[in-house]
Amino acid sequence: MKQINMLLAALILISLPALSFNQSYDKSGSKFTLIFKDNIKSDLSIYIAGIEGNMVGVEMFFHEKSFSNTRMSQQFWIDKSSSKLEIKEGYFLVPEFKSPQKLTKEYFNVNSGVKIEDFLFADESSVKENSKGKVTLTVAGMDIPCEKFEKSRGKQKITYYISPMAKPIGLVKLISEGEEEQHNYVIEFNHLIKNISPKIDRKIATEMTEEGKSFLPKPK
Amino acid sequence: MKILSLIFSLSLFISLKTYAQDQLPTVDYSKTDPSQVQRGTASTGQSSEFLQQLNQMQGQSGGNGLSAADQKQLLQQLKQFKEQEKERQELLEELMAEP
Repeated sequence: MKQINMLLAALILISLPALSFNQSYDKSGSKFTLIFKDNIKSDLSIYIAGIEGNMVGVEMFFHEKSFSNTRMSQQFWIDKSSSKLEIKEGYFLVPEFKSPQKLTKEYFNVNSGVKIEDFLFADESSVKENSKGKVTLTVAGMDIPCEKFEKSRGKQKITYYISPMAKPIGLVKLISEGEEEQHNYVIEFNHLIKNISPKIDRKIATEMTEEGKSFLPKPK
Repeated sequence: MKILSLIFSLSLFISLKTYAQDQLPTVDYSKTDPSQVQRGTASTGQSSEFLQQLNQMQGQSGGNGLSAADQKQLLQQLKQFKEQEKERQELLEELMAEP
């Protein structure tokens, strides 16, 4: 479960540069297949949970069906008023809880590899520096023109492919490699989704409990 | 003029085709109604198989009623079928509620 949490936290950072915040994309996103090193496949959905003024909510829903039936939702609210996007609020929900819990700031970035500032605080030109050119990927039986990016920090290297066809999330494929177990996975686009009902209602969120913290990796 | 018209038609066709190809598959969750799923499960392979067995047994009895053993077997199958359908329905409703 902690591995999943770290993965989701890293994912939101990766997908941020490609996000489109247009109001028409509210409650829309993408469904992916997440494949771990041992070939365990899981469903992963990333979508816009809401747009309120200068804030946009991005929710991720993870469901591992074949092995442990693990489910987890995370929702982050990002201030899009300036060029430097900033996470203002974060929530998580597991089936063990009736209400979502509000993440404290130290839980926003718990990934030991690629860091929040690598994407979140990077301006467009520095993100472009990571571009490796345009390629066409065959994913979900379709040829999708993408831009390839690579990013490394420490012992984690991620290669990811972004396409405007996959808006609002934009992510088509991501390959993460590293020495740590949780750094090895592949994410592949399945299909777009729209008119989603977010799993997390932040209005009923409670403060983090000790039990809630037990589901999350310790912040560094 | 005819050539121009032809070129225009051709370019329109190409642009329309390109537009259609640019659309990635999309699932609209506002159109996933669990009641539709319920009706759909009635035609699954397993359900059809069960109905075929039922028809066969009715045919074997010559339409004059089933033997006690056949009735017992049929009732057991029916009970099992209903339980499986209930489980499948619960699972489908759960899955359809997820993004």
